[in-house]
Amino acid sequence: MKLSRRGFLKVTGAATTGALLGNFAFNRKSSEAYAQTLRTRYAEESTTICPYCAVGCGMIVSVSRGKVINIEGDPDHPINQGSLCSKGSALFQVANNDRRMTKVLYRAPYSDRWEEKSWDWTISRIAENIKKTRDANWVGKDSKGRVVNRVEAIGALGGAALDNEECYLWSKLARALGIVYLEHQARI
Amino acid sequence: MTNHWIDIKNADCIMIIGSNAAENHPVSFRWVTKAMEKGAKLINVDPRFTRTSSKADIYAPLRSGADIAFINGVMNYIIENNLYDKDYLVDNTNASFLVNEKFSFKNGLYVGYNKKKKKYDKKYWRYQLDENGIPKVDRTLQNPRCVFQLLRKHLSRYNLDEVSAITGTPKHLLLEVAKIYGATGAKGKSGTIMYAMGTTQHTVGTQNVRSYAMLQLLLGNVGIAGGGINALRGESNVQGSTDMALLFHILPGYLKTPRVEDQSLKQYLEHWTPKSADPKSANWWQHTPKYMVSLLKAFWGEHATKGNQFAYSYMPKVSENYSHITMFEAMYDGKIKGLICMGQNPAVGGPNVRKEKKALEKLDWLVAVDLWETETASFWATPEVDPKKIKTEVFMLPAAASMEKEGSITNSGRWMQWRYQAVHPPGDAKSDLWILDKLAKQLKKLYKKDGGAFAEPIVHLNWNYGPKEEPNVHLVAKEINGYDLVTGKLVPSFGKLKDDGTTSSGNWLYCASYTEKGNMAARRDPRDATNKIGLYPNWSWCWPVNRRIIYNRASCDLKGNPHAPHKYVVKWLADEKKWVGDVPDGGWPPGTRHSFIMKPEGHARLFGFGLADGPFPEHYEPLESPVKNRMSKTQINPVTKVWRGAMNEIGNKKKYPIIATTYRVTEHWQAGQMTRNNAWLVELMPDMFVEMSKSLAKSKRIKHGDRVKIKTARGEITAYAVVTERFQAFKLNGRLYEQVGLPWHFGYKGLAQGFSANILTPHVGDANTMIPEYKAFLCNVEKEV
Amino acid sequence: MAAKAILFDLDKCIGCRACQVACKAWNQLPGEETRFFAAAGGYQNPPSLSPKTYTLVKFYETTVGDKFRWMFRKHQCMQCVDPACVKACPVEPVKAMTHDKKLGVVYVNKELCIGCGACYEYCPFGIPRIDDKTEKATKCTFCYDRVSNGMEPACVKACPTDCLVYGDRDMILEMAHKAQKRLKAKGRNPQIYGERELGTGCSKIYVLPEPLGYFPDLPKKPKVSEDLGLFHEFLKPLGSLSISAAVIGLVIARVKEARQTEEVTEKVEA
Repeated sequence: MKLSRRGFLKVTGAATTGALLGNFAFNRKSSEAYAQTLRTRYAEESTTICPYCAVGCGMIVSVSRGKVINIEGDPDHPINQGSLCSKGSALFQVANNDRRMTKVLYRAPYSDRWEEKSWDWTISRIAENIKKTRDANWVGKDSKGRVVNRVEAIGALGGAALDNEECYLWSKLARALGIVYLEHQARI
Repeated sequence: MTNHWIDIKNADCIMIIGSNAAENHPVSFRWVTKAMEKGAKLINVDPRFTRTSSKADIYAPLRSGADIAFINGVMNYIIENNLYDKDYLVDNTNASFLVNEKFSFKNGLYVGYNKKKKKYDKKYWRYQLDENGIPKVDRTLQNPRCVFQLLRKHLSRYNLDEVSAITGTPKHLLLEVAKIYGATGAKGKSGTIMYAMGTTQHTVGTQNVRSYAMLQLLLGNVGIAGGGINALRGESNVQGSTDMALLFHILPGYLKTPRVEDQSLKQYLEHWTPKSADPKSANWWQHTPKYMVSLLKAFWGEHATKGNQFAYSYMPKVSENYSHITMFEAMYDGKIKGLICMGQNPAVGGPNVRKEKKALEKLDWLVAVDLWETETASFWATPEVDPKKIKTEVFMLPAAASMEKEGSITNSGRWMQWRYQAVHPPGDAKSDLWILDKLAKQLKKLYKKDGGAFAEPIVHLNWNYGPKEEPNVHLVAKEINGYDLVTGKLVPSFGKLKDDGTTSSGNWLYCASYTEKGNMAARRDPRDATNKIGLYPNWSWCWPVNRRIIYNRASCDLKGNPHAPHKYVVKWLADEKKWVGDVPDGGWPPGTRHSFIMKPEGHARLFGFGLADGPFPEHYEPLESPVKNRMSKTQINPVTKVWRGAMNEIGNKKKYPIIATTYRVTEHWQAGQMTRNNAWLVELMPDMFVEMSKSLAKSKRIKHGDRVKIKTARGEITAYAVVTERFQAFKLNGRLYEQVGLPWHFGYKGLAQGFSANILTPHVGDANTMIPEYKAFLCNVEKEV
Repeated sequence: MAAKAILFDLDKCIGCRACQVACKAWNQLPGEETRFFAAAGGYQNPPSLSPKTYTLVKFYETTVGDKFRWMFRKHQCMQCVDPACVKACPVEPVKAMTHDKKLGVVYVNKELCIGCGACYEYCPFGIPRIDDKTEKATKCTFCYDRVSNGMEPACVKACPTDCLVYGDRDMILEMAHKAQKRLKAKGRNPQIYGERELGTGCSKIYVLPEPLGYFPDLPKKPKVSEDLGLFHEFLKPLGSLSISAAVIGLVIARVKEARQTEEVTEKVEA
């Protein structure tokens, strides 16, 4: 029944725009002279999928000058047809939030504070740690002499919020490292 | 989900059990509502009256941890009153299969139980085979050794009075549910079951799910529109992360992780490739060698050769359970030195979090990748610990949010959907893809330069995602789909994969997702399929091979005529010799292959001999329960591993007489980092609370809005009391037992802070999956003074 | 162009509060710093409408007959067909409280508003709030920017179950009556609210699944205060030049005082 959902959203994969505008959507030109300007009118739009639960609702992200200025449901998406829940409706605040982490932080052993670090330093330090732990705890064969090629001293957790391609690379890298404590949210 | 979100609209009856869909998957209710507008009935079975219950035609209260008794009772009623779909059972399930003469069940135990090992020897949990090695059947379902008769006997113990005494569900409601849901057994009618963590987070979680699936099979509700067994998954890509095997026991595409016994590729393939003597069984897993070799080729490329068993030795071999609880027990014992957390927050979300946080203190190093400062990353900075005593080196890496990077995620209905980058991540934040790429390259460099323990799998790892700073996500997506290594072209579907090393595929299930025709996950064609049941086959893509409703051959009779012509999923056009509608479960003509193609016997299993804890679901009490098991002397799941020792105390009903359960709410999400940092959501639900009945509050002199202490054997928390009619005591065996409920989203970081409910939960898991028993434990409450 | 309306079919509401957040997101309103709000059962928050909150969902736990019910109602400006707030608005010649009669939208023109509070004082539902910082009246705008551009209001668009529907008022009323029939057939005792209230009705139409009495915060018989006439009489001699928030405040107080005196007189006479 929601024939006017679409409005002026520019992202349309559909040939159905005309039909959807239907009988009680109306023409912008005839609206009042003092009708307000839509704040998203000149924004660039792209589609995304909600990062909260696994319903997989479609969303439209409006961007102006490199900033997200609005996120709302994608009216063309067959699952949510423009609607969202309270969490999905709040996604704007994930894109614009001064509580977001913007620096690599490091806490040295026994320290009581974070310090900022560069990516280069951090990646090489983490890689060294992984290598050191892996090499020192490598199990090539078990007590019965059978080949196991694994390391039980490194754990890997998480991934349900990652993209498929990220999950795949993590899955692949972890196996190459011989990690067997490989787990994520699906288990709990 | 066997079906998908939109398909809920096709149901005649919807049973939401172990799920609070209205709160945790609100948009699912778009389709529940549409079904109800067409006259569908909504049944909600839950320990508490939720926002889902508020919409239900029938709300049946169920004591947490008693699902099996409930469903067994419903199934018993359905069998005894002939509401089941006999044709469906004979054609599609193992109901008619004869079972080994020595299979038996006594005192809550199936034959073959080893008390010392807490394990079953399953040698008698088998079919009787004929001289060709094909299971013997009795299509009349009368043979006392056929699965149907054994099931009937097993269920006969679950009469409605008995069930009511276990579940606390009033008998008249049990009857109403059995009748109304049982009516979907009629031809052309469909009932769907929506479930979630309320089902799985028990020591009998897997058997809970099984009982639902069996109910659906009895009623002929699997493979049809508006039917199925539908797990409502809670994280945007938890389906994809499972498919990609971020779990110790599987490889991508649900191939098995090599075990120590599988020393060679040959041994592995012999062990894990099922065989079937039945020519009518598609036995899909017979293709395991093609999928495994193609995976090894995707991982190690040119270094995976026939000569080295396609680098099979590079794959780690497991010999025990390495699941979440085991990991934290090993960490607590000092066996794990380093931990990498990709967007997971176990300091809030793990069971028994006091212990899990203590375990983090034993690490040499911790890497936490997230959008926010989590309780896990800053475990050393909590009020109760002294950072000066904690050795752990901690790296907190800022990650990009969903709209700041490009890639795909897979929803609960198996739809793989592409997302685009809208903006750059803030500051130094990077995509996980970038972080993993940088880390892999650095490790490859280190091992190439300095060598090290078994360096080959790392040095030889196939890792090339373009020359740019940001790895090319399309190259990764294409690798997952797979290539024909002879032509260099993308493989069109998994039917083309080979076991000779001439194809690669990072995940056979995702074969056909990114082909020479393009990126299927990015499709946006809004047209429905010819059967107009809401499949939208050209919108995004779904695994396997874009089949939107799986096991769909079961929706037709053996001639290919749909049982529900008005909402058919597939149907056979005899003249044109083809299936139309959804992508069928294999294109063979009707009647030539059994419908459940993933099982070697081609039939869905009412008798599930693959499970660790029995071929039929049997009621056992939760680890912590206020009552004795009425069904047998076997109090808890006999196969469940119970951890003892430090910080693993188990509470008894004297000290902790109240049942407790944990759950989620609409306004927050999981361990909270994505919502407790969001002012609009924090506004809606700013504080931790505990819900309880008026009778419990009265007896404890607690008033609505009071601060209340909740204690279990593991710990103590405080929360605001919500005293409400939505909570009621359960009448079990004539006595009243109270329950309380706690949301588990809170922690000590973020805008909204509060005690984590998981301080209270135990380290014990399901016998098959080790999913923690978050949903039923014992506590006590008192007013804070 | 026909007047618009929003249907609130409470029977379909799942209390997810998408509408509440979508309103904040579209109107870029900040989150409020709330705490556990016991008085409303524990789920509702913020406690009331405010300059930061134009709409909120209220939760009702109640027993109807022998059946326990948990019902949810989205609360906001009713967008009256004949809005008292517009009449009350002392800003002349162009009212700050603006009524687009064609669309049936009532919204605050913040450039003209003097924050006097007359709109709140005379609103039969007690809706508008005055923002202390900006000294402007605030309330649901019916997403005037969206609806005047051919889009539906943000709250309606977000609603997962279509318990909120936006459209021509005639059509919305028709839907309301259909919903009422559907609920009656299910044995409920539904009531439409907003169709004829205040005589000419509102643009927000509720289908309450149970009688009005189960929603104690909805005025049973909303009416425009008789003081409104008196208020304008008192204003007239002052002329438009002297209109300021402070003066209007004094006038409102004076009107109340006069009314009280009148009441006392009436009582004495009786």
